[in-house]
Amino acid sequence: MDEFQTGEEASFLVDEVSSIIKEAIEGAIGGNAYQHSKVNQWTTSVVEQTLSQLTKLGKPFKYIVTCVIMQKNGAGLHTASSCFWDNSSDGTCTVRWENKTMYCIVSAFGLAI
Amino acid sequence: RLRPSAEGDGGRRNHYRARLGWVSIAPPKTPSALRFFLHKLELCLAGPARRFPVAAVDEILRDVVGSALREQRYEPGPCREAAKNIAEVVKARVKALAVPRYKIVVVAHVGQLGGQSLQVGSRCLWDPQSDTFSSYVFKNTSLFAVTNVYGVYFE
Repeated sequence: MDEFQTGEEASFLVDEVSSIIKEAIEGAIGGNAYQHSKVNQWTTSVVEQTLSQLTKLGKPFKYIVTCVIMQKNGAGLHTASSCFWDNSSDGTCTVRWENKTMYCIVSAFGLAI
Repeated sequence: RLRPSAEGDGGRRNHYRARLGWVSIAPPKTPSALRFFLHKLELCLAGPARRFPVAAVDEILRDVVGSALREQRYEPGPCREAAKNIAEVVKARVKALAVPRYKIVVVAHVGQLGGQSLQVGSRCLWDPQSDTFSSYVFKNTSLFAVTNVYGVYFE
């Protein structure tokens, strides 16, 4: 049986994913003020852009991307995650972004197949 | 998803495809090894033996989130702990269902009801035949919670 090595192409690189997420957020909502009518479209755009860039990395991973956009009015929000996976290959990256009118929290989980 | 190798290139050309779920292997030589190989091949191509039990996970979410937050008023410290506890406890209980070859991701959001607007969205790149998710929204007079559980088959 051939042996295949676990090279870089099989690991979840947090820095790489973090910059993908930041670009997706900036592209979708950077420079915008919170608008309730647009938030659905923004969430979709952030998630889809992140997922398509992750797919382009061509790594053997399944991905889950979650995005929360919340209007800033002083109310509190807490997010937690817990995973049952393979620590050596799987990973997660969460980016917290804000401007004057809203918060955006994006989490990406990569699970090796 | 399995394919015996015919290439003599040391497997390098198949390295990338091997990591995408294809395995390059030489066909086994003995009849018993061949039978074993074919049995494993059949198992892999059949997909998960047991699907992710969405209904049972829904029940776990209702139970864990409800009991954690039913009598709780929003306070930053306790709610931060509650979000962490909910994520850990839900993961432990879903893991206890012992569904073979499924990886589990639990994401819990707990927030204050302050008249603000918020949107939670998620999207996944996976195999819809084997992978799925369960979601639960809880609300009382001072807080809300959104909890998602994703079950991803390890091929």
